[in-house]
Amino acid sequence: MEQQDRLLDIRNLYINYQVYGGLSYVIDGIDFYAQPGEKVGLVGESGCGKTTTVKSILRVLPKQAVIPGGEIIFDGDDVLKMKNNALNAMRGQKLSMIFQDPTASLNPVFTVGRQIRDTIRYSGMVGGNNKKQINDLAIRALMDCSMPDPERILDCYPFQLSGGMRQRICIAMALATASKLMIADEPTTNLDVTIQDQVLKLIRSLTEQRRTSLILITHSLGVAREMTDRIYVMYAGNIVEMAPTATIFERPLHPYTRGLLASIPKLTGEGIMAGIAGRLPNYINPPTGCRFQSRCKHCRERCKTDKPPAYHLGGGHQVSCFLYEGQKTLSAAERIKEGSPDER
Amino acid sequence: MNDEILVVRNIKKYFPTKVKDRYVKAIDDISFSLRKGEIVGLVGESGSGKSTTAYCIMGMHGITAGTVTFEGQDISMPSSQRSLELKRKIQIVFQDPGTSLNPQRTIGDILKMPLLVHHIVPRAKAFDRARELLQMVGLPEETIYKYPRSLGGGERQLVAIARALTTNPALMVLDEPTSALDVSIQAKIINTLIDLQKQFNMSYLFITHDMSLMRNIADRIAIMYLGRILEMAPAADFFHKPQHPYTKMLLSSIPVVLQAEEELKPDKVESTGEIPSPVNVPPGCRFHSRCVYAMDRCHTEEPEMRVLFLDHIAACHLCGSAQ
Amino acid sequence: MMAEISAQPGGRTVISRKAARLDGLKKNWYRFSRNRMSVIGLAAVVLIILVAIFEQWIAPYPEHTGAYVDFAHSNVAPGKEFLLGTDQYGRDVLSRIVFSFRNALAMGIGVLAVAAPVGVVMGLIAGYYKGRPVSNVIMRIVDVFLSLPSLVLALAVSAMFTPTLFNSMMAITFSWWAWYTRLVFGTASSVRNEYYIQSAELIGASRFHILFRELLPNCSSTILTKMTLDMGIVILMGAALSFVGLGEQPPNPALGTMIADGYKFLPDIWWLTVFPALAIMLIVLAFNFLGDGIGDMLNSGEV
Repeated sequence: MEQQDRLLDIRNLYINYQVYGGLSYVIDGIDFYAQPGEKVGLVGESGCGKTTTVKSILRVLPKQAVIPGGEIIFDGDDVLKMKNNALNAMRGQKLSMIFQDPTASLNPVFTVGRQIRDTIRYSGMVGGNNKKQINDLAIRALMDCSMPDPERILDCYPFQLSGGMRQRICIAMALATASKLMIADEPTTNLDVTIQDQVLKLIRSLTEQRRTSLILITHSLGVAREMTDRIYVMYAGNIVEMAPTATIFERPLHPYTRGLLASIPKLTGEGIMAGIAGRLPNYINPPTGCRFQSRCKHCRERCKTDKPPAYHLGGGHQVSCFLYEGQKTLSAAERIKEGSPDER
Repeated sequence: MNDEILVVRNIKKYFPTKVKDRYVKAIDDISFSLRKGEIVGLVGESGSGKSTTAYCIMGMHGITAGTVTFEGQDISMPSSQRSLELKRKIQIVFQDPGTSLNPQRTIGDILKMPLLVHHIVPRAKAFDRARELLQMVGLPEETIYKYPRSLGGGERQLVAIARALTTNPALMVLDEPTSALDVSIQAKIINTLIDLQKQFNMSYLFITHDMSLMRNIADRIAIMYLGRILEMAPAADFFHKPQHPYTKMLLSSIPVVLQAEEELKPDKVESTGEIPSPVNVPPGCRFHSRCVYAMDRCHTEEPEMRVLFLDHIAACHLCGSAQ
Repeated sequence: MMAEISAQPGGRTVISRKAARLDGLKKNWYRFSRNRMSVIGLAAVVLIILVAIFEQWIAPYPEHTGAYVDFAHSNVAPGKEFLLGTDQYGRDVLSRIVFSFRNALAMGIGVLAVAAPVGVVMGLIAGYYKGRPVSNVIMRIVDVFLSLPSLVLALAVSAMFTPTLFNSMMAITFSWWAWYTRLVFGTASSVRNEYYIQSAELIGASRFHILFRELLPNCSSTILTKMTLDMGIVILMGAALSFVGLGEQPPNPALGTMIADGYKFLPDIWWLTVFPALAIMLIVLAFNFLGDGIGDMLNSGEV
């Protein structure tokens, strides 16, 4: 079944890192997709592989990364097979990314204006290096991000601006190039809660206005809840659960998702949470079977030998855990009929 | 109050800048107290002065004005001038477990040092005592031979807690102890801290920016903004009846996961603007530039701390009557 | 039930101090041996040390190293009887080179045994108290010593006293300590502000403990690397001093002296100069490779 309406389609992706001591099996066969205009959350804790996954879309992995299998289709093109020119065009015009630390993303020795103009110029959007046009686009980008006094800001250096403003500039740079997909990797983790609120709102309104798809990477389920339509939960290089946002919170299925939700302190004041005992598995010598086995209360013998496949339960809810083996799963045809367009 | 173990009165901490007569007013007149066995939470965003407060209490900075009293004794001086006895009784756990443990020393050595400095146990027994401490925080015995680099963030933080425990302190200052950790690890650390607090009847000054966490640990909470305390109340009141507009703004911005929590949040106070620089504290109420309720008075007159309910104080012209 | 936070997944649980130390050594060796040149350097250094210790048994003509004269065999080219030839007095070049190793190593060890501790202690104090008068005084003194070229200074100091191996060692040490101070100052002054040092201060540890048990271990990798590399440099300097006659005096063999005696006979009687020079070069290279290897081993940390 061709899923032509998917903007991004990652299938069966494996990524290994060559490290001293062998191969580190970081990404262990994941499927991930995003549709045009959709906001997708990728939630997981540190070390689970979320940044590695998105870096592979942009093809900016370090040289010790090896992709032994899988495909990444973006806007109809096979990203893994693209040559440099096509890649640069893709990165410049169709994809954009904002990172966790706005201070590290901005070059401290150039003015903000120079950096935004450079981004626009290199994206190839404006033919013939038309300075006025580039400048106008830069100002427009800042105004869209509700920056007061854009002309003055363009002449500022990053150190003269606050963290929230820097992140807004990074967003402006990302959206200046009218991209189809924005990837935001923990964009507000380093910001204060009140600023976080503003920045997230900005991202949401801009992506909705322009019908840009959004992949939001975060370790905070609360942030994902506010920002996304659909959430993937990732653990140790695997997607363990995926569902529409509301469903994840109403009916979390995977033991990891439930553990994660249970670990979050609640405003309702129920007391301290239980946490999830144990640690991420060793990626160089990963356990056979389910990678969550060492921390799972429901771990059985089978979990130590076989890797659980993704079970597609109704309502667009998918979970990779043997606990749900017996439940009624939908076939591909049924799923499409149901209107939740995922495959296999 | 005789059961007040720590009393902070009108303290200020100004850091000089290169410009004459211009200071970074990190702490600009705050007062609060901590009772024995109590957990007081200090909440605030960046630039609020909460970490500086912790450091002043520890003596890492000297104080520009005001007094800090511990168990009746004045401890306003920097730590280099403090007695060894005082250093034993107040301990701190820092935010970043990566830099609070010496990477070139084993966990055993790290734990033994305070034991020996304060003569808690004779040298021959120090190793065993270190092992006991590791057990108390839930770490396996073999950790004692390891170096911090072999441990994960959560484990390192537990070692930092064990180190703070070595001297049986009466007061522990915890500066964002779990902010650098994943949420699944955080729970273990927090649970350990709570258990230890009950077991040894310690008092905690807990600093964090995570309000949801605070809701579940603290007995009383104070919220700081630009060097001042804007509101202080028992935990439940703080969340059910927030008075100060800043508190409301903060609470309404928190991302939550349960519908029940959503309902608990105050009506949305739109978060606007940014925190001004502590070098340029606005005149009048320091929050007026971001406050949707700001009146003319707020631009010129700094509100005093007013008592609103039992144990609940706030500094806002709109709240209650003057103290 | 106490939730367990387990030890390193996939690692062995280590339950005794000896086992932990052994484990650490094994890991270090692993890292060190990754680089072939480092292992070659280590082997060469070990060889040099063995030669110095067992000089009596290794040199084919040990008696040639004293006051020995045999004009019948003077200036013999390298061959079967004298592997590296003989000098103008008929003394076997190979044996004299072998016997010179001891004083070359002694030069290196002697200088570093004094310069390193003194320099390191000064550096720790200067780094810890950075910004305070004591630190400024120390670093200005260091600036003075480092602005004078060490060889020239060594020559001047040596010339003031009777030339012996010991005096030339002192001459080099006189300014050498300053390098260590500067090196350690750099590391110490930045580490000094880390939270773990502040932690130790807040707990009430003594200054001694902080300087030597907290600060010093963080500088040790740079110090050790430098000491190893320095061996080569100091030995080279010692050769330079003995070249001008300010080191080990004849008839005791020294590499520099041998070159000084022999270079006027170049290019015909080349073996008097070339072999001692090669020996110096090999010693310096050996320590350089070893030093690089130690640097990599100590700095690579966890991947």
